Amino acid sequence: MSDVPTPATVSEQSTVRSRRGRRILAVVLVVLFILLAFASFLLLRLLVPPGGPGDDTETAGVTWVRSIYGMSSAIDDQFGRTQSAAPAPDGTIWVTDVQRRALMGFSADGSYIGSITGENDIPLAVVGRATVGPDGLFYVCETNRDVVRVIDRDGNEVSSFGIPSPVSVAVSEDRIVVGSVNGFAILDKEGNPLHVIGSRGQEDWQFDYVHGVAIAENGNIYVADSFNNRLSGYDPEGNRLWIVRTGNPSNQADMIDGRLTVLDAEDVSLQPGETLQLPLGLTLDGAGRIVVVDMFENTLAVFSTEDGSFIGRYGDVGANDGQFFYPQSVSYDAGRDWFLVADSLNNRVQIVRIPDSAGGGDLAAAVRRALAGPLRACFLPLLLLLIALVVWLSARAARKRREQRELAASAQDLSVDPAL
Amino acid sequence: MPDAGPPTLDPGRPDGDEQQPAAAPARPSMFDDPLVRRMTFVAAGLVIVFLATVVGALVTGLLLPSGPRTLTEKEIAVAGEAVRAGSTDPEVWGTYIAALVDGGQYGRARSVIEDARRSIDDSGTAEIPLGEARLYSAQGQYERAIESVDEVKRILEADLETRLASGGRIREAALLDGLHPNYDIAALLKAYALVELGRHEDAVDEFTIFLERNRGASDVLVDRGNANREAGDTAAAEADYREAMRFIPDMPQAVEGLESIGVTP
Repeated sequence: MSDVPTPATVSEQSTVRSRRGRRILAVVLVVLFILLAFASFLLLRLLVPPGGPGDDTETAGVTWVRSIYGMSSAIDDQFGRTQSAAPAPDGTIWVTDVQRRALMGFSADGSYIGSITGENDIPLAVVGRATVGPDGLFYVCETNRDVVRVIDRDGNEVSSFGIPSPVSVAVSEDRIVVGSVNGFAILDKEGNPLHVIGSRGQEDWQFDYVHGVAIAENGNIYVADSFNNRLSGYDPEGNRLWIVRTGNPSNQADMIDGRLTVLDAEDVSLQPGETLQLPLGLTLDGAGRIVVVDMFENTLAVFSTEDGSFIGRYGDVGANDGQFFYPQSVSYDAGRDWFLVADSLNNRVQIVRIPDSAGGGDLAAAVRRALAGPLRACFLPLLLLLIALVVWLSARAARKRREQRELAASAQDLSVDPAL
Repeated sequence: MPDAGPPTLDPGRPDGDEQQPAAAPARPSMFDDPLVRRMTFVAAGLVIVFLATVVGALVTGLLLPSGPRTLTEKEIAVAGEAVRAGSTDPEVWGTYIAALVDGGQYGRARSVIEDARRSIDDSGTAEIPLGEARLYSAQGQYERAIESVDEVKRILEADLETRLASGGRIREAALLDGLHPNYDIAALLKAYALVELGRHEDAVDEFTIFLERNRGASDVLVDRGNANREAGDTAAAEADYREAMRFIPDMPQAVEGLESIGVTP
């Protein structure tokens, strides 16, 4: 009896080994899937925080992205009443609150990166609203000191200019617009005043706390006159283009039946249900619309830049993520198509989106948003999968070409040698 | 024996061929099977993709600690830090337990409840059984949630009786304050548990307890209206829906409730 395996025996052994191999691999794959699913669940728990708006949270059209509550989980690092939140050109977010004399910086995914407190000899004091210019410099309103300070990322003061009671600021490539108690001023980038518009009062040409200013790409300026409850638009030279009364003015009230009641204005141009109570911070979105925060309605109201006509309103009152409670300011990050809202009495900053704000930049903004969130962890594996797919397809195509060549060569051999 | 000499080749075999036994076929390997090979590639690919995700998360700083990102995370973080710092305030513990339950961390919530029972005096606030009731409700164990709520009520009623019996300023304060606010919260929790169990008439009673001291809670008024409707009392349901709309005109849930009982808002 020979010990040499015969072809028939080899074939049987091959079948047996193959079946055994498949069983082993099947078990390995099942165990692997279970382990990977469990590990993915743990990773997801780390990346996606507990909470967020539930199914029963009414947000009235606002899409919540994330909230920022403080610099860390420590009690002392939580925000107080937030005043402003502004995006920088690099996507970082800069926040001011009433408790800290600082600009607190966060990455787009909400991680704390550091604070700016001004120079040692002139630290920031009672920081109010702030914004970040296209040049990356910080423009900070110090209302009680009647000054706007310009500070770089290292906390060095680049310049400063005196403005009586500045409460809001907007910056473009070549202009600075500062809103104050009395109206607003248009300045050049060195802080030299070019136009000063308004005085304090209730008349058509007057203002009572300009809490929101914004500059469009064409240089037009939009202003929220808070206590007169008006929105107005101006050309780059400060000539008024339009003005609308957005609700009953808070500075006109009388005692009626023992209660202080805001009087009805006769020139309100909005329909009931559209009117604002107290317009504060203001910004322009990617679609070129004015978005203004209404502190008492706890909403974001949208208006046209053409004539100040009302477009829509989003948001609801509450403490849940996605809701607002006395928001103070709003700013827009065009790169990610989202809004930063200083949700003051909820002691947080919220990153939210509203419909139709992208204005054509949806895809690029969506990619940047994804890279700002937990999904960026998937970028590397997706790239590897793509490479693997390309390699597999290439190898498959090469194998097919090789088989075809061999087939053709074999057919040629047969036709050449009739004896075969 | 004479030397046989060198072996001679078989003349029938071509020159150069060695006379050896027939070559044994190569032993088969399980990786010869294309399906096995594919499954191996899939398994290896899965591991590589997962490791790449972890590396990606590490490299992009996703796994670095950051501040709270949601309200629940903030409440867990802040209350948790207070508890770890040794707070004996029952309300802090209660907030922590509630935040853990809201965050879906039921195991940790159970552990904190056990720690609280050993660590703090809860006789005046009943935060621990209230937290337990929240936990049971979240887990769908409504009968046990109701038992915990009843424990809350017993504790707070007993506490009120004790304070009233004390006399003097303690009695005066107890008369002013009445039952601890957790009593109302417990009643509300019990109401929702009863609704889940289909005991709508009992749920109405518990909603009523809550609304006695929280009359403007429009959402709870609507919930009581819904319970009244399910219990067959449409008149009471309509009254509840209309009362809710007194506080929030055109409240969508109240309007929907009225329409559900065939009444024009």
